[in-house]
Amino acid sequence: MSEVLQALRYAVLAGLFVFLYRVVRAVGDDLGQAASGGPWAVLVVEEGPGLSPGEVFAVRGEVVVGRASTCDVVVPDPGAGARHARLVTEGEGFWLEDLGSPGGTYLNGRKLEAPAPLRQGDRMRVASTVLRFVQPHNTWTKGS
Amino acid sequence: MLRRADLHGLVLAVGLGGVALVHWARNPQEPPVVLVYAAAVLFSFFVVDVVLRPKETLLLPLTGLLVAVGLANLYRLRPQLVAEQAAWMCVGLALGVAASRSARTVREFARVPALATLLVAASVVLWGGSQVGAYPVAKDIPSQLAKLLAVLVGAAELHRGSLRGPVMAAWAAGVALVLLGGDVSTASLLVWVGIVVAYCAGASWSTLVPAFGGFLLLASLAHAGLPQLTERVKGWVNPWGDPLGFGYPLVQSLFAMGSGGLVGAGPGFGYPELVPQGHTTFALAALAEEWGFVGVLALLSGYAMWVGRALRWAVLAPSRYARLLAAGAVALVGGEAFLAGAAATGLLPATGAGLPFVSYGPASVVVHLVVLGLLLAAPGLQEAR
Repeated sequence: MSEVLQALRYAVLAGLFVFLYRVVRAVGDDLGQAASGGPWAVLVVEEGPGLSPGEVFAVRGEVVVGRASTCDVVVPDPGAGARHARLVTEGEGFWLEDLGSPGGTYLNGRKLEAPAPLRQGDRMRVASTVLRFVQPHNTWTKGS
Repeated sequence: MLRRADLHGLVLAVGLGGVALVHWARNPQEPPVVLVYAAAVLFSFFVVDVVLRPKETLLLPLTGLLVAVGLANLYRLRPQLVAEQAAWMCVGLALGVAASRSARTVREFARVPALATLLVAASVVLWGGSQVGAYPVAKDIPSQLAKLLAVLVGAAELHRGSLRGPVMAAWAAGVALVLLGGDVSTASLLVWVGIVVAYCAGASWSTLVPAFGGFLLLASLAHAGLPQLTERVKGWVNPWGDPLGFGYPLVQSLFAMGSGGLVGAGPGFGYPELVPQGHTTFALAALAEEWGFVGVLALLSGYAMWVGRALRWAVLAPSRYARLLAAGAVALVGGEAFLAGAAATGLLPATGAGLPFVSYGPASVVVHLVVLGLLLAAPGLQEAR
């Protein structure tokens, strides 16, 4: 058997396993999503009236932040809108969106004009409440 | 989208690599037309993925991989059949897309015609003996069709309620006819699929155990009455008793696996042509000789993932009909792969079952691709009003 054929032969055998590895990865991704019901993250309170620093809110799926008691993350801040902002899942990550609040929502000190993706450690400000976005490391999700 | 293209690309690379190896080892002076056939088939899998956009993203590439290995094996052993097999694969894919699109309609209309066809199919198995070339048309087409119908009828009958007497009777009659025709693999698969689907539909053990007992009784009657079955069992119990006679297939199969060793002789090398039916029933042994333990491990993992992935929809599909359909499809493909693997390794007597998607057979390829099409539709089949 020539060297070229020999090399191709092992490449094909290796290719079989590369393919199977990719399938296993994809299965794992799906399992991770199914087990958790999508990606999840937490919002850690940095400062804010009526909240103690270090307090944690779990975020999964769509989460509305505001003063109203029906919100998923209630911030008892007189300057906050009833439904001020929301976080939505997009693929493996989260996006922050202002819900037309009078004071606006700030991301890392910048006023939010359009929905923006949230990255590890981002600080969002609703009136005078500051929340830090933390996405725990998940073995099945890439790039986090 | 990226995941789709990416996995299909890998399958294409591995498949073309395998076929090219066989080509350059066997007929290096001829133009590699076979690469065009293989590429056409594997690209069709990608096209189907793009056309159907199934929620299930892994089954099509996995099936593509099995098909690619099957084409390389067929090209090694029966190069003259590759073009035909490739054409039937494309036909099967087209029919699979049609079945996937009309899976909802099938639910409503499957019952009566399917039952009638099951009986007709079984009776042709019993009386049909005509052949086209080496291909037993009247024997193979009905028995393959019967498998598809078992999946369809099982799901269509049982999604509304429990088993009904006439259905049980028709099913038992079908199995008995197929068994008397000497087709043990189809008979066992009909029983297996029926029992799995009935179990998933909530049938009690007091129904299932007698059904299985009845099958064992029928099988032992067939074993006693049909000489070709008696020989097969003898060749399984002690193949070395007559290594050139009834033990020949199993002995050659075991030798082929032994000489394959860890990485095999390499596609295109070795002597897999010595294994009888190396392109159908004993495909696993022929592959073991050329692709070795490593290749067989990859192939069997492929089947395991296929089954695991399909089982997911037998649990998660949104309607009872879809779940039973998926359960039937898993039972059929998994059961067949098990029967073929067990025959090649001597775990069970040879039944005649081939490796699904890998072994040669026009009707087999078409039927399995239609079953795949139905399975791909399962995640989207909502409960009927």
